[in-house]
Amino acid sequence: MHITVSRNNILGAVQRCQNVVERRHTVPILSNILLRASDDDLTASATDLEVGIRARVDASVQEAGGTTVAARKLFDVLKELDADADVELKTEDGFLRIASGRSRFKLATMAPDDFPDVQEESGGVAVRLDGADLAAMIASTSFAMSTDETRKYLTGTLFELDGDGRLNLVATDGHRLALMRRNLGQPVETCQSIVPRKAVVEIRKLCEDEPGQVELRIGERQIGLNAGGCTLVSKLIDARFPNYADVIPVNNPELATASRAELDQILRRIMIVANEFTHDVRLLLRPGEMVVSAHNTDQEQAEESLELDYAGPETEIGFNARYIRDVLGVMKGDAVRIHFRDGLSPVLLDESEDAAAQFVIMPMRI
Amino acid sequence: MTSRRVILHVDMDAFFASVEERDRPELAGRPVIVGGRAEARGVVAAASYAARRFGVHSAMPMRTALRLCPEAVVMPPRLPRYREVSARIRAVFSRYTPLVEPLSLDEAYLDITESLGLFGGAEAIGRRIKADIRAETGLTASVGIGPNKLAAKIASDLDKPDGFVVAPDDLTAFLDALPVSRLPGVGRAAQAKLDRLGIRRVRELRLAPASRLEAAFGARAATRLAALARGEDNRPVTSDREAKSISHERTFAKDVEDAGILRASLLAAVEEVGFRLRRLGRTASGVELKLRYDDFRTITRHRKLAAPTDATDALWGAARQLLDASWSGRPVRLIGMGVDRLGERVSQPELFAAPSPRPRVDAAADAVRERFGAGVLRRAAALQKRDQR
Repeated sequence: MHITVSRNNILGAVQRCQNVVERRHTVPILSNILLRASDDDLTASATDLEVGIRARVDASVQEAGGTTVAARKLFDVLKELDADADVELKTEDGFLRIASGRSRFKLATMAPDDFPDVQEESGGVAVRLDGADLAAMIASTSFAMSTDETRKYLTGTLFELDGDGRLNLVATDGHRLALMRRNLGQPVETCQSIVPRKAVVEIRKLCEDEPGQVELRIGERQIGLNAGGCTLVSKLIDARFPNYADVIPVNNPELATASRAELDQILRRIMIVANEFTHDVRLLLRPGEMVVSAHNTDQEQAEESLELDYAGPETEIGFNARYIRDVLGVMKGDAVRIHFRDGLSPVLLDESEDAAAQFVIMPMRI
Repeated sequence: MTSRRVILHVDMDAFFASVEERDRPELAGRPVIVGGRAEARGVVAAASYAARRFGVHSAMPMRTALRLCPEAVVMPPRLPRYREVSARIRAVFSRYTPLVEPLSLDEAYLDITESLGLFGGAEAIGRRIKADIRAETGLTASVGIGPNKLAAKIASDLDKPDGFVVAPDDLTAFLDALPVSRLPGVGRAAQAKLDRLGIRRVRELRLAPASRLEAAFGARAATRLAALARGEDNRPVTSDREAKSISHERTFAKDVEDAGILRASLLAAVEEVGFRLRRLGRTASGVELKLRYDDFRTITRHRKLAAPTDATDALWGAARQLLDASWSGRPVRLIGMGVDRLGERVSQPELFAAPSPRPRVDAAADAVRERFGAGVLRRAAALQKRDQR
């Protein structure tokens, strides 16, 4: 292989691949990036056997071919090179020579034949939408994914195409849930897949960088994304996602509307004395007012009230304050609406009647 | 901020052996030794005073004990029974102060500073505790009272069995006359070293030049010895209630390589810790596993829980995972588990699950345990065949 490529182009591609590479993998070659040159382009790919990524950039190819080289080291080298200069890459006797300006590097390589291919599964349902929209959907939901490996099925995000032509993203750790819907404007075949955390994070990054449309393909065992010159594929979590629709309260009779920023600030202050592990706080709702309070095992206390729009009966609800703040953190508007029934039933939070995002939090018993 | 404290140390006399004697009156007066069988490299867990007259003492290999006292009655330890009696003794303590720090089944420190006015002073409290224990368990205890843990512990040991010693506030005179071996932490090795320096009494230790002690023991140990000799000890009495963690561990008589036995032992520890956690009205958000291998290498592994809990099942799930993930397969000498990140009794119910009946299982098991002692009711998986213990 012998090519010349713009430093910025190859740096972007290598960085995307680098994100996928696991620092310590039992298979040594997976620490590497596969580089392949043919015709007028260079393709960089990387995989951890769960998530694979391939990024294509324009290159001037003097000699086609391929090699693999340590991802981290290649990335570090490219990062330090002159941003505006071209980079020349050439394989030679088990090494990759990198030349740019007056810099010369020689990095060890491994044969590309042993590198596992990033293979796309055929079939599945493909939909197109704005990259920015998909990124925003992930941003609004991914915080609720579980990190509890004993409940593998909750450690990802559900990507669902429903009968109303919507893409729904749902994440939950069993105590709170985040849901965001997006109308695709066309009927689609329904399907459900649990996408693992790592892939969710990478999909978001790719979409954030992509100004135009992306193609999302949801298959039987794999999810794929095409964004710009990048293709990402990921295995799915082979499990059943809980029936999330059952826990979204549709008929909570009480509604309180508060200032999002104010509630967030109050929770931040009150949490100082809440138990540092359980973050349990009490919300006392009464007409026109909410009193937020907390105490801890050292008998320390905090209390603060805020005005809000509420006219129902006095109700006290316990919460992990962290869960509420996570929701407030991904909302955009000025107001948060709190729909509840009593102190123990699931509480629904949203921004408006027609909000695309809904959040459910199970109260704590305190 | 050194307010005057009154600390009481209670030490049951030959506890395990005394329980056996009380449960079997025909043993009264005979030399009774509780411990593991000589063939299984057993050691003496407790010896009655009749056995001690032959030179038998705890931690001695059983083989040696039987050589010294061939007519001894050897009893296998019945820990569940001792725990049960111990729980009754702790119930006595809690009448006089909430600040109880149990050191083991048969020994505890009590901080009675705040209770003095309620019960007519330190001596009155000490005498009442002794009398209550005797009336309710038929056993004798030795009680020591002093201005700190060190003094209380030394005092309880001075007039055993059935002792009652109050150390004066001025500890210097009280300690000076004692042989250095009375100081906790001065074992046989330290005693021999001190002897070579010509130091036999605490007074000689107190007056010894720091440089001499340092040369013999190193700076740290020398400082500690000097503080002991001066009767200095600021350690507070910490009860479970203020504890940052609760743990339980067990050393096997024989190193264990069997995963089933390890799991059963771990579950038994989880049950114990869960019980104590619930009795305190606390929940935990972290679980720790401790393993000590046959080569004495010790590992601890910690896991944060997704939600605070006081349920034995939830603690067990996390503990078992830690064991499965971290046990190397080497023979294990000690296994233990603990919980930390403690908080108030709050619970985070699940969105999806129906309410679990498990809290009621725990509550019922706890009630049985409070009344009849540990080991009466437990999860079947925590049981082991007799010969596996």
